[in-house]
Amino acid sequence: MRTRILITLAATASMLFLAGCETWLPGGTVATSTDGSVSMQVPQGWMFTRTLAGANADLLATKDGVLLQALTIEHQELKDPLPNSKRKLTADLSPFEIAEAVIDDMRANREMLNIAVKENTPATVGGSAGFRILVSYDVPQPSGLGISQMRYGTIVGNRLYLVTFLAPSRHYFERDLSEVDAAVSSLVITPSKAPAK
Amino acid sequence: MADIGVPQIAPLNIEVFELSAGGVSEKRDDWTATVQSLVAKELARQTGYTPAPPPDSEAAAAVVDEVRAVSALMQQIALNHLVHLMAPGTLASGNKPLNHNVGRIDRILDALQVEGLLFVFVRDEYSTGGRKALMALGFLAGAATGIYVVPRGGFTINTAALVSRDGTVLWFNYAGSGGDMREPEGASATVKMLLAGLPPMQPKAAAVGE
Amino acid sequence: MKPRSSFATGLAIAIAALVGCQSTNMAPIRESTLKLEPDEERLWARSVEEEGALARSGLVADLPELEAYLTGIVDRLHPEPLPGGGRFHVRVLVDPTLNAFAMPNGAIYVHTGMLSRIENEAQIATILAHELSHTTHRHGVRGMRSIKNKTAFLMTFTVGTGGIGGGVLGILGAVGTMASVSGYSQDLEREADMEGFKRLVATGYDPRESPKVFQLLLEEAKRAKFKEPFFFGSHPRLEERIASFNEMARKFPSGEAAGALAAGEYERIVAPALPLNAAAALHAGDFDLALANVHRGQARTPDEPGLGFIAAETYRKRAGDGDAALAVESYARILAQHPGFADAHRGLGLMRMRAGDRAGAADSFRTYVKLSPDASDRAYIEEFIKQCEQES
Repeated sequence: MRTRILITLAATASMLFLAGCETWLPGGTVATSTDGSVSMQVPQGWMFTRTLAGANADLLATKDGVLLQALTIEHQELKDPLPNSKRKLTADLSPFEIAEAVIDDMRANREMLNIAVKENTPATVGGSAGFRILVSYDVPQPSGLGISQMRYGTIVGNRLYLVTFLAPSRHYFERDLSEVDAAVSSLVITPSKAPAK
Repeated sequence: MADIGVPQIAPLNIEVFELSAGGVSEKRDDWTATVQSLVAKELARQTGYTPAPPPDSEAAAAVVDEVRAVSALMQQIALNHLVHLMAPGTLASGNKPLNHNVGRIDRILDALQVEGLLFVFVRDEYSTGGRKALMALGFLAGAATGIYVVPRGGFTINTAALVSRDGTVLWFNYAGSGGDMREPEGASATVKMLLAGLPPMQPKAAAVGE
Repeated sequence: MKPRSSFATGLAIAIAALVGCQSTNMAPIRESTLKLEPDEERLWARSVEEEGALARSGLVADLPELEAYLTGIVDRLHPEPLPGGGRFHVRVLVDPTLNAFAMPNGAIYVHTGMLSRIENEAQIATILAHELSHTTHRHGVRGMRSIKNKTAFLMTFTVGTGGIGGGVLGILGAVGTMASVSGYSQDLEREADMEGFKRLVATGYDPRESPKVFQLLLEEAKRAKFKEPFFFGSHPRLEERIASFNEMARKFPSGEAAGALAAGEYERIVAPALPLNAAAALHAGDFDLALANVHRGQARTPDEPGLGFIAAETYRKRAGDGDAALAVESYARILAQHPGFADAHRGLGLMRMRAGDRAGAADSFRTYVKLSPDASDRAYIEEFIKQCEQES
C-alpha cells in the first residue's frame, strides 16, 4: 500500500495536471477533444483542459478542484487491453457486456477498495447505445477517502469512450450530479473522426 | 457566521517525518507524539475551544468512523486548496475563497455535544544532519561549479478549518512553519500563524424564555 | 556546462563521511527479550498501521479455519514468541497474483493466488518458512537502512558532481510496499531461503517439496509472460533458486512433519480459497487461472454451484472456440440442481440470446428478474426481454 499525500482523486495517473503544460479554459462552452472526435458542453462555473499528459485523455473538467471533483473523457482503442484486467473488448459487444467488462476491470483495480456497484443501466452516450454505472469505493490508506464514481461508456468505431465523474461520496458527488448528467447528455461523438474498424 | 457556541477541537491529523540524506522520508512516532501534544495544548490555549475527548471515551468511540471519514474529506479539501494555489488560473473562482462542505455532521456533534468542530491537518518534515550537510554542500559546490543541485529541505503543510453542523466550512486557513514545532516556541508560533483570522467565538444564544 | 571541479569532488568525499551510514549487520531475533533499535521500532509501528489498513481494505478473506491452519504451521516452524511477546499470525488476501509477504512485526500475508497453486502442506510451509525468516533476520530494517545508505551515497555523488551521474531515486516508503512489491535485495532473499529451509527441515517437512514451489513459480512466470522480475525473482533467479534448493534437499532425508495434514485434508482446508481466487482471476481477465481453480475445486466438490457458476461465466466472457457450448452446459448443470440460482438464469439467457434463441432467452430473463427483482442490472434485462419478444 503506497503512502499517498497529494493526489488521491484522479481518473487515471495520466490526468495529473500539475505537469504545468496544460491550458485551462472556463466552462459554459462546448469543449472538443484535440482530435475532434468528441465534444461536450462543459457546465458554467467549471474549468476544463484538453491538453493532458496521457495520450488517451481527451478532457478534464472541475469546479472546485481536481481533488474534489473530476469529470473526464477518455478513450481506449479496442486493440489495447483494459488497464487492470487486461481484457480486450470487441465492437460486437452489447452495452451490458461492455459494462460488465468495465466493472470487472474496476474490481481488479487495487486503487479501488470495498467497491460496491450501486447502479448499472443502459444509457445513450454521445448518441450511441451505452451504459451508465454508479460505484462507490474507498481509496487506499492512509486517506481511506470514500469516493463515488459515475461512469458512462460506449463503443464507437474502434474505440471505447468513457466519461467519468468522480468525487468524494460525502456532499460533493450528489451535489454536482445533475450538472454532470446534463453535460453528458450534450456529448457528441463523431464516428468519422474516430478511427474506423 | 453561524452561531456555533464553543466549538471542539477534532482529533488532530498530524504526522511528522524525518528526511534522510538520500531523500528517504520516514514517519517519526516520537516527533509526531510531541508535536500532537504541543499543538493540542496551543490550540486549546489560543482558541479557548474544548479539546477532543480521549479516543477511548464512549462519545469518541461512538463516532470514530464518521470522524475519520470527515477528517479524510477535510484533508482532501485542504490539499485541494493548496494544490490549486500552486496552479493559479485552474479554477473559475480564481482567488476568491472557495465554499466547501463536508456534509452534515449532526451525528458527530450530537455525540460530542457541541455545535462546531475545528479540524487541523499537519504534515511536517525535518531534515537529518546528513541532509543538511548535503544541502550545504549543494550550495558550496554550486558556487564552485556554477551548477546548483540542492536537495530540498523538509516541507511543512499546516491547515485549519472550522466546520458547522450543516457541514459548511465556515473558515479555512493554511500556514507555513513558525519554527520547529517539536519545541514549545515553534509550536506556539506556528499555531498562532495558523489561527490568524479565526472568527471570534460567540456564546450560544440563550433560548427564548430562559 | 563547467567541468566538474576537483574542489567539489573533494567536498563530496568529505561530506559523504559526515552523512554517516547505518550498519546493516544485525543479529537475528533469537530471544523475545531482544530490544529493538529505534528505527526498527518505527517500522513495527508502521506495520501495525498497515495491518489496520489491510483489515479495512476489503481484501482480507474471511477464512478463519484456513488462517488458523496456516498460523499453526508457522507456530510449528517458529514456536518462540517475538520481541514484545507477539507471535506470527497469518492472514489470507484475496488476490490472484502469486505472492506472500511478511511485515517486520510478524504479520504474514498469503495471497489466494499462491494458495490456489500450492499442492500440499510442505510446499506452503516452504513459503511460510521463507517469509518468517524475513522477520527473524530483520530484513525490514536492514533493507530500509541499506536503501537509506545507498540513496545517501547517490545523493552525495549527485550533489558533489553537479547532477552528472543520475538523480536520486525516491524511496519506496511503506513497509508493505517494500515487503510485497519491490522485495528485498538478492542477498537478503538468499538468506531467507537458507534460514527458511533450515527451519523447514528442523520441523520435519519433506525438503524435496521446496524446489517444487519455485518450479511452480517459474511456470507461472512463463505462463503469465512476466517480462519484469516479480516478487519471487526473475527467471534466471528462479532457476538459480531451484538449483540451490535441489542441492540443499539432497543433503537432508525426506521427512513428514508431525501434525502435517494428509493431502485430502489439505485440499479440504484450502478449498474455500479457490472460488474466491477464481472470481478474482475472472475479474482480472485471467481466464485460464479461473478455470484451473474451478477444476481443482470441482475435483473435491463436483457439484458445488459457486464453482460451476464461475466456470460458466468464464466460458461466456472468454468466448473462445467451443466456449459457448461449455457455458450453456455449465449454466444448465447448475440450474438442474439449483433452480433458484438467479445469476445462472441470467447467464443462460445471455447465451441463448447470442445463439438466436429469442424465446428461450426471454424465458430465462423473466425467471432472473422474478428471482432477483432488485438486481442492479435489471434495466438491461428488461430491455433484452422486450427485444426478444419483439423479434420472436
